[in-house]
Amino acid sequence: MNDFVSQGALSMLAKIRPGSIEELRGILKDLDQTFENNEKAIFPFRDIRSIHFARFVIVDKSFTEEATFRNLNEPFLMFSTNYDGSENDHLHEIVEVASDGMDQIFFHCYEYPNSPSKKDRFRFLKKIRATYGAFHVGAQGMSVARIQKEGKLREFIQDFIDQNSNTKGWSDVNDPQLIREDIKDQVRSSSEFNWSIESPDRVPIGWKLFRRTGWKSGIEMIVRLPLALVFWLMIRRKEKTDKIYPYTRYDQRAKDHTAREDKVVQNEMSLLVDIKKGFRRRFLLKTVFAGIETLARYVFTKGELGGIPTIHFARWVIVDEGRALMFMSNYGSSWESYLGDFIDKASKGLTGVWSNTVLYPRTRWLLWGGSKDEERFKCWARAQQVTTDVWYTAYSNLTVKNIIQNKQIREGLAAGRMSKQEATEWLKLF
Amino acid sequence: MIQLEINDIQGIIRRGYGTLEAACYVLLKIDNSSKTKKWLANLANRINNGENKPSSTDKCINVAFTQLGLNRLGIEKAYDREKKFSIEFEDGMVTDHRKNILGDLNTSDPKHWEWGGPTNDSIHVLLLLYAGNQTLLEELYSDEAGQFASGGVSQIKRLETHFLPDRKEHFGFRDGIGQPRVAGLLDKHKTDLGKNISTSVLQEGGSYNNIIAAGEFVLGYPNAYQKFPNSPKVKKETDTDDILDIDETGAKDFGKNGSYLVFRQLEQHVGKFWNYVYDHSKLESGEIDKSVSEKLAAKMIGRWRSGCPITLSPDQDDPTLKDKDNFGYYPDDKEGDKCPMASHVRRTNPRNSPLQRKHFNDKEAKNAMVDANKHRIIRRGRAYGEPSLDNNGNPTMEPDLMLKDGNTGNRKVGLHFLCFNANIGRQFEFIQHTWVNNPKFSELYSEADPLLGEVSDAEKNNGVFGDFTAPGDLLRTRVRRLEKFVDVKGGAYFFMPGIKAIKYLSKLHL
Repeated sequence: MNDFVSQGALSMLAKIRPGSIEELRGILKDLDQTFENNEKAIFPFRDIRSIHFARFVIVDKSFTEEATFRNLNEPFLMFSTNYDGSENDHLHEIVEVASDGMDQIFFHCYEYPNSPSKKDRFRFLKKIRATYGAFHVGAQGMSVARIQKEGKLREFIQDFIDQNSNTKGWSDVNDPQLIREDIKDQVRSSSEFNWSIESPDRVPIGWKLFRRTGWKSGIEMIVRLPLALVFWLMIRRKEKTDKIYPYTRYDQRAKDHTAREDKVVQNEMSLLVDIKKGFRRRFLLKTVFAGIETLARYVFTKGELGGIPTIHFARWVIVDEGRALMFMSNYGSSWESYLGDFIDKASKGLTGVWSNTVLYPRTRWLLWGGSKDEERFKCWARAQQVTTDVWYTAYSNLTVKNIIQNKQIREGLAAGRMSKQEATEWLKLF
Repeated sequence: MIQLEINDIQGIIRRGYGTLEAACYVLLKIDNSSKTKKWLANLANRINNGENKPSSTDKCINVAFTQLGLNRLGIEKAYDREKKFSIEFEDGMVTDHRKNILGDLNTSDPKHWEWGGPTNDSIHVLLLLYAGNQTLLEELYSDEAGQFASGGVSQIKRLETHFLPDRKEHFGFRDGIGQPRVAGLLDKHKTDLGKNISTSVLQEGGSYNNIIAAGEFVLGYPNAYQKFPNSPKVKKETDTDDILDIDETGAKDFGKNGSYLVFRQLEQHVGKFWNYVYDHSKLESGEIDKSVSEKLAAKMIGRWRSGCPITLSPDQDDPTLKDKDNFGYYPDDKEGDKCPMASHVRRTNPRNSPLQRKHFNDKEAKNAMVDANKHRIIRRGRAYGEPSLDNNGNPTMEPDLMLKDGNTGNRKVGLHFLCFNANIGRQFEFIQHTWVNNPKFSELYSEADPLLGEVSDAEKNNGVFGDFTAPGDLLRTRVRRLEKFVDVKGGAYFFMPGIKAIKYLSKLHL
């Protein structure tokens, strides 16, 4: 196992054939209910080891300036994943493991070949992939396998501490270094967990420098900045008169997707809203994305995006030929607390993005205000939320904070001699 | 200058009526709305408002409505377009989604409820009656009940309360200590509520601050975001007598001076709780170590039985601190070595403690305080059910005596939990979901609230519930497989309108 693997976000948009939507919806609904428990489920997510999170969303409408949904001319199926390693390896794995599911699902989409070969399926996925605007990873560099293994390692050590905290007389000797050595011995003697005694691989220097495409975004942002500033000043004059979302209570439509929401521990969200008209808006939006992308790669690398600690993965994708903006997120808290963080912690970044979309609450200088109009902002977000048809998570009982703490436990276990102080700090992780 | 209209706000929102030790709650349904309107016109004059501080000889009445009740009285036709009540109130406490949020699952499932559930009668009106003693309360009740028939309402249920010694709840802990201080209700802060109260004027020093914007509890005033909370508005022509105030946009504000009232009947399994604590406090000889059990229980709650915060007196109870509410967790107890993060009082009001280790600094402590203060409630609950008696026949809250009492298992005891807030989703439901039932609260892994948490799904959820960890100097103490010590037996969302709004309702003829 490579201890360090970078994570990517794939957004695949397949246009749905006319008249096929309802049948496709049925297939996806069935899949959503069966894939965890039924071995014959057409899309065995759990067997695709490179997937952290995945979802299928039928996108046939976007939220408009009239506070209602318009039907898209060309409805599409959004198949999105968060994955480990290289994109091609990931796609090959999907094609290898889930060919039946692909055939049944994408049969309803344009350009899916009849009786396809593996190569055809691979080419199809390659063809329908779209680039994202901005993408955030909570636990950077952590592979699915490592996250799961280190989760079990923590439980193993916790149980050992439970069994021995009294009988071994640990509290009498009061020696953190000795306790740590006892724990190490226990782990070393376990065939299931002795791998963890080895130090994890170091993060490659090349990755640290380039962070996937982070450097490109940085350059893009700098190139765009002068013109963006001009547009910003021009658009800014309109922000006082732009229409804002008129309601401060939730839309009735919210009830469709709330039923599957707010379960323990993770939740998902898909939002879809029209971008305000005009070239300048799209230019600004892309500049903000380049900025967020750069920050997400180089600054927000410790599990938080602008202070929000609960996001596993999140991304924005411009869809519908540049007319609409889709936001997809996998987070580890409740809807109410997640949206609260949007307001209290990351207001400027989000306002920078969403002030370019219709009915966003009143902004000042396009970055201030906005989501700070708390009830209106939440209701605006609720109103544009679309139901995710299928949602998969590879480790449903872990939060980003858990994953990072498990990593610290493992690193502390593998580290060499610790001082008394260090060993005490390490024991505090349990 | 914006100031609270205290004489239009119902009294129980402002005060707990501590001098009135007897109380009951009457659940009503409306049979004849025109008769009910006449009854309300009269009742409005008997409602105790926030100005009057009752003495022990007083009798106090307050009243609240469900959405169904208000619909019966015609509010749906009076709404000014989409300006209605919040969706949480409109939907009520019992929906599939809300079951997840509130943790009303398994033994707490609304289908088992005694009132408010899908199999029970629908509730329209809640009458809250308070008096200095039980005799006076019965007088008040029979006066009021005598008017039900002519008022077009009938009684679904009368819920009793029982005043316990030292203001305790049934597990034996002093209750109701932590309360927000509402800007505008404090004399010394005759502040303009239109100005940002979170700024320095009201800062109490350090990062701890317990003064909350009035709009967090009462509609019609700016909230913590300096915005007017969503409030139901009605068409001008429905207010023929010009009773209601207008809001900042010129619309008739039905919600002004009203507050959402969350009511939950929480049944407490006293024997189960103390047996669990004792089972986990045994010496190797099998004997129970009382110093360990007292401490474990205090760690789970976050206060000793007297009410003293464990964060201020970590080793033993100190009854001189029994009503202490003015304290923070930062910096002296930032990691929870004294009061565990998972404890009941810390997770229901984290105060100024950053919820992540890496945020432990003064600035983040202030931010944490501001964040925590966006999720506050005013609690007005009361216990119900007779307590155990000691050898002299006096009520006792001593765990040993409660366990000896053979009836502890049979007698139904608990708490009628009542709280007020202006945004049910951001306040009560947030506390319930993001703090109480969240096994991942702060940096935890598998620890729902040790008192209230819905832990019975542990098996189904890979064991992510049901642990409790108290950090120690060297090693933590962990107890596992917590049982469910509290079950929900009933509940509903009510709205407690301002008194003018009740008068408006009584004259609402469409």
